[in-house]
Amino acid sequence: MSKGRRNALRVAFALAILLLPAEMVIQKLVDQPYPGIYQPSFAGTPVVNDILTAKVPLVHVTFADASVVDVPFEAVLPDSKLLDLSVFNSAFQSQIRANSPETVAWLKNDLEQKFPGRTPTTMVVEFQTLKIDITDPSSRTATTTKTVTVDLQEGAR
Amino acid sequence: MKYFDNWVVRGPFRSADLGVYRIIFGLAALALLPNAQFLAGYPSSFFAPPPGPLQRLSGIPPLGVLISLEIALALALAAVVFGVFTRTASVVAGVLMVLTFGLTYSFGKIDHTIFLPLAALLVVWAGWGRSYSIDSLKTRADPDAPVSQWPLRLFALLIGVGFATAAIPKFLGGWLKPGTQATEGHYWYETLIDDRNQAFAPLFGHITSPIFWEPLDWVTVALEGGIILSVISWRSFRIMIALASVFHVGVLVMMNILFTTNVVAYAAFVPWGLVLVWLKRRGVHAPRLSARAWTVVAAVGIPVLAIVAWALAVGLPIEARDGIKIVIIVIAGIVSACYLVFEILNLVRWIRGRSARRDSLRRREVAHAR
Repeated sequence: MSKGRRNALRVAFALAILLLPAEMVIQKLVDQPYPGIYQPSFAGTPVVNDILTAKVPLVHVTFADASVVDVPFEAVLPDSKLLDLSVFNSAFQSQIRANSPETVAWLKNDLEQKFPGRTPTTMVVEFQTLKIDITDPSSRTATTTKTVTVDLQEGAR
Repeated sequence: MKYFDNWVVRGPFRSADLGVYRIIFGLAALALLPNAQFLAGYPSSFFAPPPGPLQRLSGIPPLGVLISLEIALALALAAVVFGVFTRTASVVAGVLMVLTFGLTYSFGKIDHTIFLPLAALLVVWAGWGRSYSIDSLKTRADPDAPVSQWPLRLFALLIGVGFATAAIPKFLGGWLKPGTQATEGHYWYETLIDDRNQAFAPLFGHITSPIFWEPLDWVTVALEGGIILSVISWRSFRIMIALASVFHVGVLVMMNILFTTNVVAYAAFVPWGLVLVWLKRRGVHAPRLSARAWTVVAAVGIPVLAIVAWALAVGLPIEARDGIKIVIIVIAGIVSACYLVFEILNLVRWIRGRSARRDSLRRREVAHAR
């Protein structure tokens, strides 16, 4: 093996080893980058003393006739290969992003197709902290921690 | 440093192993071809790429671009299968996989499929196009010539790094504390929140004893953290990735999470040449065609394979796609379990041989003393 090739391999392997602390620091300080050589961390545990804690969105759509319909958050999204909860949380977590003109126009059209003949005026997303007793999963308590309102009339103009 | 230099280039891989792996990799990657065109159904405001080069994109690429990416990737992978312009096709396939997967990860969640493109981008430099390829017919390369081992060593190390990024947060997050039962916690989250409660998953809900759940936490951290250490020897690394494949079957059964791309990547370390020898002994071999005939087969086969794979990727319902993934994971689990049994038998033989040698030595010493 030539000297140049040997040194190149030494550098490549050194960089591969240094990648581990570098990735951990980047993930801690910024977020997980892509592309990056990561595997899913599943850090911590969502169950403490038999209580599962999770953040879930509840969606209420108000129509022009003042009626309100609860809609599963998955139903708001198009059929996709992605995990709906992640997509929904990402898109509707912030009031500003949820009310971007593109989101509002798309959402209005989407809800009008799902509820033909009715005019949606607002969509309210309640982000709830759900606590489920895993010894009896039907036993649940929910606390609303955040509310995001999407004004479908204002934004769609 | 001399030991390190030797370690980097030392390995058991032969041209035949890599040639067969290239074909398996290409076919598996075609079966897992990402469907990116559904992204066009989202508004551009949903597009939120993770930190990295994808943030330079101003929005979701138009539908035409997404379809072109899918087809280009399918064509590159089909060229990898047939071994046509193998180096270029492999690098293009690797880059397109990173890009296409990346686009689908720009909506709030990264799936960890990086080992798959990494296989194409690294193992190609070991010479996976040197056997069972159209390229080898043109260059008449010696199939028995030694191949570069360092790309596989580097790939193994990077797999270890990837898993260490999962082990460290688990360790810091208290997975090893006896009171946590983190696996149980995540099982319940996946079942109740992410609705991954199909097939065998509900059975685990009846298990409440920490005696079942706590060791799973320890085994998970030990496995994920141990892979990087196992890279020191090919045997220990193969044992660890075989354990990882069996572990992925466990995760599939318990939580319905599919680590398909990982097991396709691990297949790079299987001595596929031995399988060929086994098949040849039983009279199974590839059709004997002239170089010209193989070139014609490839010229027809590449576009046909690519279009069929693409049509299935976009046309098959998600349940059918998941079925393909499950089959791949289960096959990998069975192969890995057989390998682990083989290694256990080797260990038993070694222990027996050692004690037999010791007995024989003792008998000889007694006889000598008399």
